[in-house]
Amino acid sequence: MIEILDKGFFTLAVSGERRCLERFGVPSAGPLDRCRCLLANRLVGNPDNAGALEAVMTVPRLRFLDSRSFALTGGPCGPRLLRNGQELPVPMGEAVLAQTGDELTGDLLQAGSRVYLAVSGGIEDASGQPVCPGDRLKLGEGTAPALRRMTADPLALPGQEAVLRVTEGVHAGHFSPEGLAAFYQGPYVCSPQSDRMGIRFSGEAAAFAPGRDGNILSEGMLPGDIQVTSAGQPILMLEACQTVGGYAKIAHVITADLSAAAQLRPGAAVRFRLVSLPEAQAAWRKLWYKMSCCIEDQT
Amino acid sequence: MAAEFTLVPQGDRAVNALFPNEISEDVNRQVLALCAAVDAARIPGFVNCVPSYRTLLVEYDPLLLTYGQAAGILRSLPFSPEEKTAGRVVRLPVCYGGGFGPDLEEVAAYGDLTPEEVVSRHAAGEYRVYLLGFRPGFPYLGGLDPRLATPRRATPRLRIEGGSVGIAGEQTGVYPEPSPGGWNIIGRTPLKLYSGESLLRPGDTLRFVPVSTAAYEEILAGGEWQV
Repeated sequence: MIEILDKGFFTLAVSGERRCLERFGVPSAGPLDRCRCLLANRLVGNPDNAGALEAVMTVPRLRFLDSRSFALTGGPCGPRLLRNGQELPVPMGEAVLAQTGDELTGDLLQAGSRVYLAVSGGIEDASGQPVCPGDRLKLGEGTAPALRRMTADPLALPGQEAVLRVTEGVHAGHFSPEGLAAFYQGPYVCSPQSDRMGIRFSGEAAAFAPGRDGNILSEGMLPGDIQVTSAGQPILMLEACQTVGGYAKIAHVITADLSAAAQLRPGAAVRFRLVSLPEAQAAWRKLWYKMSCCIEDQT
Repeated sequence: MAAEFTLVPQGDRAVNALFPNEISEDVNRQVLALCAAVDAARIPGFVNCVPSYRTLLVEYDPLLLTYGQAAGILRSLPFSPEEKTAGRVVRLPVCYGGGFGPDLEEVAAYGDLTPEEVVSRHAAGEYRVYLLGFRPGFPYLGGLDPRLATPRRATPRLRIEGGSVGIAGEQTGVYPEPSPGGWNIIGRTPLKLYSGESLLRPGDTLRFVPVSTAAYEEILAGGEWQV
């Protein structure tokens, strides 16, 4: 088990396992940054979709009640283990063996907005619920501790100026040529009123075509879809987004860039760059390949 | 009528099947028929699908399928939109008016009806569950008596209790969980729309059954109710 001592700003127990209940109106409760959560799991020898912790802006303070290996990915946060009154620095992207009683702590993220903690055996019953101080999280059967490390990070954290690649929106025809030009010119600033459901952007309004107002019959949507409200402002859907939406979708962030989107901070200025569907899928295959060969056993 | 749909890529890992752009039982039935066909076919590389009024969003794994392949499979799926699938009928108990339905009088006044007439008209309806969304278990319903149509409240309430049954414009619906909202609330159901699984499914027919406050409390406390 691990015991939460301080939850930091906001920490959730998440799992990448798809429940596929969207048709009943139930959003996915997976990690916002699926790739980094998966990499953290691989570093400790867990299945890709094992339960892990997702923390915003800082790592939660916690105590290991068993000896387990663990790994952190995402925003660098100066993590360290407190053991017998000593502080041991913990590298990001590298599995470390914690002894019973060790405490994990860290600072504010230096970049990005989320950090993932995977523990060997995985966190059980991780269904997107927030954790609180005093919670004792059960871990699955620990295998022989795998101690792996990333040789190269296949993902880059976005800065205060970022580019997200998109494919053409299913409702691109609902916008005027000027509206589309404004959208692709940007930039759009991430509003503080963003959450796990979506990032609200503010910038030049993306004007609708004559006779269009951005409303459609509510229909299914996915993380990565960009809806435009009646006021012309884009909202990028993230992992916990509603399963259906009634606004026109101007573009779709490609799967390979969803991790970067999940790491944006409020105030970041984003431009959207149009790519073709084959380019988008090739980018995801390339990223998937890089994620498959960026981890090696520590010698 | 032959099923006609067009396919468009929705991002780099989904294909959206578009049926005629209207709210109609016929179109929605075709969407659900295609959804059932996709479910039954268990196609490797298909991840999930989400039906709505007139679209079926099919998510696929782009490491296994290209868009062209996913679309080709969807086009070749045998499905029978003509088949009138026997949707379930779900009976939802509702205690109308009083503290549970603070806006019943206003809805009555707006429609130039008595509160009793509002209740009998609302409970006489057969409501198709076109889709679920917005919140877990929240049904988008069709079939509201036009005489009951009432605009949203000018000032939304900060909190509406879970189970509240309301009217907004030409729509009626049920709040699955407490939330802010601008619907005119005319009653409340003791049943949970979502608790681990959804009470309703797309394609169901929903009926509201008026019950007394005593019956409401009894069902809430775990009493029998045949949906």
